[in-house]
Amino acid sequence: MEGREQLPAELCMRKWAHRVLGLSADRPILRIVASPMAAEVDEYTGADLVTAANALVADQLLTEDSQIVLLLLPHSPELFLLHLGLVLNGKVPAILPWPTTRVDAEKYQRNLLYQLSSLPAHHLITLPRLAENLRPGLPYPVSGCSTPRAAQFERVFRERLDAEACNHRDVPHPGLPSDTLFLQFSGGTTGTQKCIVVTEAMLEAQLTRLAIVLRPSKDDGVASWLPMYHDMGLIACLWFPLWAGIPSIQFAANDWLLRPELLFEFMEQYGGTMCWLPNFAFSYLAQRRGSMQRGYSLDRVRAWINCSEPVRSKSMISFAHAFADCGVSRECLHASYAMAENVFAVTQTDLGKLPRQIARSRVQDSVIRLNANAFELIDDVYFSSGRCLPEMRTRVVGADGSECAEREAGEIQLSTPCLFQGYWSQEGFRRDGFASDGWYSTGDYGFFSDGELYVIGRMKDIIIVGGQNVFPEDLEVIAGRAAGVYPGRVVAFAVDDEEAGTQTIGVVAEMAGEFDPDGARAVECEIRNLIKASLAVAARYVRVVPQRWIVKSTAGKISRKDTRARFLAEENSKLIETVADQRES
Amino acid sequence: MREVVRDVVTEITRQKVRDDELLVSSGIIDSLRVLKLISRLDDQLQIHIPTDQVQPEDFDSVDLILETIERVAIS
Repeated sequence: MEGREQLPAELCMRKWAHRVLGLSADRPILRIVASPMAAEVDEYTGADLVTAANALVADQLLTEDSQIVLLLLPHSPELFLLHLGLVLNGKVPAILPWPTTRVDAEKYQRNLLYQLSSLPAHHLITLPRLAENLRPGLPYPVSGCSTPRAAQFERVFRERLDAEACNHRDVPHPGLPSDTLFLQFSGGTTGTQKCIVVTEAMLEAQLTRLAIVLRPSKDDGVASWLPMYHDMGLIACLWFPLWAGIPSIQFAANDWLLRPELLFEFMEQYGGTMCWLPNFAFSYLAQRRGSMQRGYSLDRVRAWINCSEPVRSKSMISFAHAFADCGVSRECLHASYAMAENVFAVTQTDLGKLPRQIARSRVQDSVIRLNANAFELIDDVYFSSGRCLPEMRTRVVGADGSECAEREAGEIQLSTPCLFQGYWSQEGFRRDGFASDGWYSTGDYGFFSDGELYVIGRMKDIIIVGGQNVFPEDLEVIAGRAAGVYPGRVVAFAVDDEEAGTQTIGVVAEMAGEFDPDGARAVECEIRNLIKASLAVAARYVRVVPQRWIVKSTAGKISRKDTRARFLAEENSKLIETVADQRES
Repeated sequence: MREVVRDVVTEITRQKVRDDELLVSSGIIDSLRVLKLISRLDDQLQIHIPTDQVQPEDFDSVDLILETIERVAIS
């Protein structure tokens, strides 16, 4: 990024607006389904979009010095319009995840105040009721913006929060590059607070290269239920179609979860030809095939792109089988390796060609030497994530820093034209994770074969829940705050969900004092609530155990790996007992 | 009906839960399994729960499931 000539911000914004207007001024470019029940779709041409986005931003009465604007809104036309409108007006929006299920309102709001007051922001836009509750406790202005179904979303925040008056000023932070467009929080949670700055130059570098490999045409369309706080939803499914001048239709993740067939209905109705999904979605759709009322005409779709989670061959094959009668062929199933740190895609499989797979037995695995946690794949093959996008360079290195041989696994490093400068913090851009020669160490584990990248695991213990990164260290700190937990005796880890094709969260905590089952149950409940309120994700398995249950290494350190193994062994035994009980009864 | 709902929840969660215990928001039932829960309820109770009229949080406890069935289910 160093040395790149940057355009003045005003010129960049105009350039973007002209592009959208020029390509799609009079034809629909964005459709948003606020509620499938309403059967209404908000449809915007390029010209409409710019007008509506500017008008909504004007309603917010932002001051001139409000640069970074946080958006905490459920899926709604307003969320899309505000994001785009703020960019058009030279502001820097950052989308925060709206809680997807019922939360403990008091805990959620207090946690939000804690997190939001430590973020480098100048303004928060959220639903009106929540805005009233949070306003006294934040060092910057908060405005309310109503959306369709706001009453339903805000039900939980009806009680007035007795927030303590904020007694500190906003967090001092270094200046942003002049062509900054928006911020993304890596992993999608505010808990991690890993802030990525996306500039006009970075976005343009990403989108132009994505367009070279995907070759969008006027006949294309994108359908998405992916949340906008995630890079796959924001970049692949919103910015890419806008940039390429192709229409996209956006609906809510919760609506898709309960009616997965909506994706196909919208693709049919609005001419969807490209669709990005995390791995679990392929499994989920395949499993729901039997309960779908009718077939769908999906033969126009030229790319189902598996991204954000390790690609599992079994998920892809079951999806292709389930929907073969609808026109889904294996040649249309693709994969991409992407991350917010690179704006989005690093690699992409070749469209129109059958993606490659390689037998596990052909890979030289250096897991033990590198102490990495390769995913416990149920498949005996690895699925290719494809070749690097133009001018993006990727290498795989071993523990000694030297490049690995063909089909030898190691850590994946990047050097690309759209790579971030480091996580943006109060100290500036943090360069941890960058090698001395400027390459970024992703923490992902994989190998090359015939010029294609295969991603097979993580160097770190990050848990990927439905495409969202969750850090075990965050979970352990949060769970450790629950009353009744023995200080420092908490372990968090991933539990593979074979059926869903994703990972879930497991947490084991030792109980302070004498163990009693009723007390343990209450502490488990408290831990679940704290995790939900803090990270907006749910922990599937939470177990409070007697002291000395957690496994330690011979050096006396807590062993995440061995504790996970003990937990899984006991869970399997419990499952066998439950099944036996059900059969008896 | 309560007994049937409890049995279905036990089957999905693989554990006994209290009637007021939070299921979806706590993570005991992840959101991907809500649809499976609805299908099992439909089958076991011989009803139809229209998925376009509900949200995952409507199934957040045995008590809430019973309320939701009362509100939207078609026999």
